[in-house]
Amino acid sequence: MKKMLWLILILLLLAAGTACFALRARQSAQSGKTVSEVTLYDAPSTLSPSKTAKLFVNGAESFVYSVFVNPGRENKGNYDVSSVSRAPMAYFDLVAGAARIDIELTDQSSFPELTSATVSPLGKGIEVQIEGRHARFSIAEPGQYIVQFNGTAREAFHLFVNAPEEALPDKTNPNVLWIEPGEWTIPDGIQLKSGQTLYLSPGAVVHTTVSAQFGSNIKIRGRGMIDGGIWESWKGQDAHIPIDFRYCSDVYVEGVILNNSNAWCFNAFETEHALVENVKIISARPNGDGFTLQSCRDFTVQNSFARTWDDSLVVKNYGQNTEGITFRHMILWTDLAQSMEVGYETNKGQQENSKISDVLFQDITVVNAFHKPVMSIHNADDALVEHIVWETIVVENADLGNGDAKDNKQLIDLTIAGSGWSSTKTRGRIQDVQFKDITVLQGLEHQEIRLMGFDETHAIDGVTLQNLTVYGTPVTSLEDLQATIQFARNVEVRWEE
Amino acid sequence: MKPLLKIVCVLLAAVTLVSAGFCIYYMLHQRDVEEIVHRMTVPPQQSAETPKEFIPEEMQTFVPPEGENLAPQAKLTESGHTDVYFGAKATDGRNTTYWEGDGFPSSLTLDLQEEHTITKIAFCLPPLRVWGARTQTVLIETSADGETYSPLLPEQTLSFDPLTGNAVLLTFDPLAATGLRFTFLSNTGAAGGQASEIMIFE
Repeated sequence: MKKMLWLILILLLLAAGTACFALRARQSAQSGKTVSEVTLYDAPSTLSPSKTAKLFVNGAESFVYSVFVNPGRENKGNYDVSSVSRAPMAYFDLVAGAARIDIELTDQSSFPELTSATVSPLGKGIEVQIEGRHARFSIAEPGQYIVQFNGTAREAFHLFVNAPEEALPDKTNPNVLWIEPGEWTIPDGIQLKSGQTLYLSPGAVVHTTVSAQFGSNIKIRGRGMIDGGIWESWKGQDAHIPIDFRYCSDVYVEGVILNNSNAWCFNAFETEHALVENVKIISARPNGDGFTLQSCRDFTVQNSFARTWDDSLVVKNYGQNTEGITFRHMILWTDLAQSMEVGYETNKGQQENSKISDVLFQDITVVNAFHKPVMSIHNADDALVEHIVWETIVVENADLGNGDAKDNKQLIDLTIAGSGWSSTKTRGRIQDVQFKDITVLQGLEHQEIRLMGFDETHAIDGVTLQNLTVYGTPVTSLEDLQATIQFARNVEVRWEE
Repeated sequence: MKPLLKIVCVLLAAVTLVSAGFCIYYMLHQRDVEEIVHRMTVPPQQSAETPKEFIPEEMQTFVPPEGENLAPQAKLTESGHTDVYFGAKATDGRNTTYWEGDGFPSSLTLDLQEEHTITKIAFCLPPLRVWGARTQTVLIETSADGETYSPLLPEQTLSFDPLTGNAVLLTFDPLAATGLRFTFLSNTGAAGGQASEIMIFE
């Protein structure tokens, strides 16, 4: 009997063990062994890392740049930069799988303790674990991420996760200008000609400007950074624009970072058939507009980032008509001025029948907007502005009206009026403007909308607000917002399940 | 049961238990991820350098003629400008700021306030390699009364090259004038006339 019991016991244990291994084997077979593969890029040895934060990716330390940002909310007009401060920024390539991120806050005086952290865009649903002074989470896809600590925007971490580069340009091709990793100064700037490609290697920090005039088939690529730190603020005189296209066509810009420009950052004038992909902008100085498109046609900016101390995205008419502009899949942070602006200059070139048409802002997350309107058309000239669409916009924090914004703190502002930027004496019109799937998560107690035409002849005609949600509450009528309406007709508010 | 068999049984049971325990622990704790990190290094540097491919060719510097440049004191009017490139930047004494007209023809007019006998005019563009070489066609006219203008010279084709100073100096027979008008008719480098400085000398 005893023999039998022992035998049964042994068989049970063996069966249990076998079952465990079988279960394990089955689980492994089902899930497969996953791989998390990343590429980290050292920085030039001449640069000092951030003193406030460290970054570990899959357990390996990555260089953290200390970049200038500007939490000031007042443009004194005298090019004052006293409100500029620093924030951490890093980038790496996500080759495969999900990267394990560990951010350590190293400045005890700045954050005596770490109590919470969020990763934007919040829509990604990234959960953060706090352990001591560490914020730990996973990043599963390329993109631009903002990590904010203890519920404050101060010293937020800017994390740019790139996809691996594909089909690198041929370094030996004479039409390829190749910048190696390192810190470089090219104060005279780089002027690109038709057919040329400029490649900024990962780990390159280049103090220069890149421009092209009357060129076609021009590319700027890489993971490196164009930095304007060698120049004082432009003070209305010497603007050193990191990327400036004038009268160009068939332009492609991909992957680079534009940092600390002494004026505006990415400018295109009278340029068409352009694609801008995964470009990251951080500006802190006066007139530091992000992506500025002036009189451009068939121009797309996508999967890109702008944290700016002036308008983040701007469409204007400085010459011929603007048509076919798309901004999509973007992350914005607007410290000063507007986040997504059409205007004020709608006919700076004083053309006949000036028009800005077919502008699309799609799938855009505004992490923070601290100053002036998030979505705006300011028609300060005599142009017709029509077919402008904002679609799938998430405003995580619309804390508008800070500093010198005064009453210009609307979530949505469509205005026809003269201003200091006007070039024409007569006024224009705005028609067919659509807002679809707009979500505001946090911000001012009451969000405002202003639709302000100039007169009966120069009015706003046709505005649709469809599925606008403020703090979880659907907006079903204009009464749900603090609305100012004048010389605006055919305004429709819709909510559809 | 024989003692040896008992020992074998106990040992087998122990091994099985331990194996099962390890297996369960492994299931619960093992991160099922293989982490791979590539690192790209940067060659050490002492300070920021200029890549050798971008070291500019030696650039000549434009030396203005001796004497007073009358332009900064003149009253300037412009036909127009693009962006922030105002006409006043053509006479502000700063060679890195410039005026850019908003198409063709585009013009700058300088009222010298009183009559001067002029002999030289210099047209400058910023002395930066990024500007690239270009050619502008300019009609220069003078006025004795500030209202009626007549050509000083035939249309001039001016060649600018940053390697040679990015400036053009015109010299001509002395001519009395109270006003000058510069009408830019073409520019191979922009869609309007451009000038960082226009300098006028007696």
